[in-house]
Amino acid sequence: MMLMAALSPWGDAAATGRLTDIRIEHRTAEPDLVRVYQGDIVTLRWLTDEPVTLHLHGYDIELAVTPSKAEEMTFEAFATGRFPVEAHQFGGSEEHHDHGGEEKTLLYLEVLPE
Amino acid sequence: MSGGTSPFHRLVLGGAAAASAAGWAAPAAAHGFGGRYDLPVPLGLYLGGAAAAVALSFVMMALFYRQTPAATRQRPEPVFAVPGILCGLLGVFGVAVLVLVVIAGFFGNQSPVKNIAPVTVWVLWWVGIAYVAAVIGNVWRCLNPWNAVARWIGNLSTGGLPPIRYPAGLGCWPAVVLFVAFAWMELAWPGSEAPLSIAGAVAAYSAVTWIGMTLFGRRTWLEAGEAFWVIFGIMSRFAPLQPADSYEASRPRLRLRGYGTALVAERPVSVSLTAMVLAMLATVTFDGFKETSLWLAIRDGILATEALRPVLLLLRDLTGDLKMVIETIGLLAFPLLFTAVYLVFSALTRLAAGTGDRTPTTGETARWFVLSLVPIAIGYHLAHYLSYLMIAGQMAIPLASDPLGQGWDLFGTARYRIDIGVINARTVWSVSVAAIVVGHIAAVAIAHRTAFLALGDAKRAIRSQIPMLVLMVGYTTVSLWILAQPIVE
Repeated sequence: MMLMAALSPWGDAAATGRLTDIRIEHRTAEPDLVRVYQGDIVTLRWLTDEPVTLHLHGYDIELAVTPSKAEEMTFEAFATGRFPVEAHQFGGSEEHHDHGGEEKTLLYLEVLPE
Repeated sequence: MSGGTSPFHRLVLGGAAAASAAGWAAPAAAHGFGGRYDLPVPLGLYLGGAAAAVALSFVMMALFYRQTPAATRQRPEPVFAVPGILCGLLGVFGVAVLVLVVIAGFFGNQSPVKNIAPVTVWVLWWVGIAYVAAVIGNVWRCLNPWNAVARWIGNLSTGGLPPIRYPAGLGCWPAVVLFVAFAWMELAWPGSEAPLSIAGAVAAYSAVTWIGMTLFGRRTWLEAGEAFWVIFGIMSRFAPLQPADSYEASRPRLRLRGYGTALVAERPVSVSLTAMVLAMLATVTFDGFKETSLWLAIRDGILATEALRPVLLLLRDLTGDLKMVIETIGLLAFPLLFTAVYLVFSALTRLAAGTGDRTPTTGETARWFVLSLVPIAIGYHLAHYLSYLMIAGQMAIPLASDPLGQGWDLFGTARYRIDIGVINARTVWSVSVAAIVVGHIAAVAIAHRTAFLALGDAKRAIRSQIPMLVLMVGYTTVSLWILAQPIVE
């Protein structure tokens, strides 16, 4: 995990940026727990061995990742909590859906209070 | 910095309201409706809470030793009247909500986050009413739509067949069965989020309730078979506002008492009510326990057990959902486990009371002291659901404008986005641990007073409470432990 102090885009005093690399192999993520602090600018950079749509619950961020290149989700961790990242549709599909089927929790993001 | 305007909150799914809510829905069968994002209580706070509960318990025992608790109320309790119209209006509101939930569930959009039925039933009603009932008073007495409708019809009808006599020995067992069925729906049923399923369940329960009222009489059925009348009634015994007379009075009166005083039983309660209390304690605890990795390990252990394989395969072929089967088994096993442990400690309590006149039997002891455990369950319930109520409850805001998910905007709030940062983890932790510790203290105090009422002798009463104290410390510690576990799905 790399720590970079940076000026936040909102012009506040320096907010901590945190970048975490996550690798999905055989439908398992490594690491499967990411801990950050409230107020951090969080970047999760994903690499996968098969196409997958990821969904970070709570912050409600979706990301489609293919094996060819790493993809990032970046957001301000403004809310504390323990948020699952779930894999929808391993193998890739264009449709959006309403959380009907079995979804696998790949990772938990814990945003700790300052 | 609120999340509402930040460009980082990319919402890919269509529709602002649906998107903000969709980020919020979890896989079915997680927890009635939607997910919980609670952080585990830190170890220090968990151990500190447990230590405080133990230490304060000893302090209380010492206080009781010095001063005999009053067996009867000494100060007159204020009584005040409530305008009957207020209760009537709440009943109208209750009926309106019932109708809304059924219509939305049957005819509205079937996505759980675009339909007002799931949030209304699982958050606003089940969690919200429980909070109000436990902390303020049993508002369900007025809100109960089935009672309201039955009263209106009763006021209109001029007679009819007399009700069948309700078998006295049956107590509130029908309510117990219905409550366990409800708990199953909340905790194990994969269809619990689906609006159609909810509407179907509500319609079925309405039918059962009205049939019961017609057969046995409205008031009889409320106490015997309306599960939520009984359950919210039990929780509200902790609250300060108690009914002063029959709820049939045109100007119902409320009595203001100390918190928990209505849980001090003057005589043992019925077997069925004891079962109901134990079922409530067990299901509230199982709700949290099934989200721990220990439960997952138990579940995997069951699945891996060779001896159980044929049974499990059969159950899977019958139901198609092995996870649901095992959670059902857990849900049924927990009340049995609680009952067994509780009976053991009731026997120990009786032994500790020593011989003498007025010594109750083990069964009487169990039925006499069961209400004293209620505050611990209330404390845990408050802790477990606080952030869920504040985050999931926000779903009601956009859905009030578009209850059927048709794209309406009745009140202009359809584009409201849930703020997951509305409550901070530190607040949740502090309130949670405080609620459980306070619940524990209340339980200890209530049990002491009950013991004095039962035995009449202060020294015997205190001695008899040592096993009960051990049980309560155990239950409180388990509740805190659950809160300290990371949620796993």
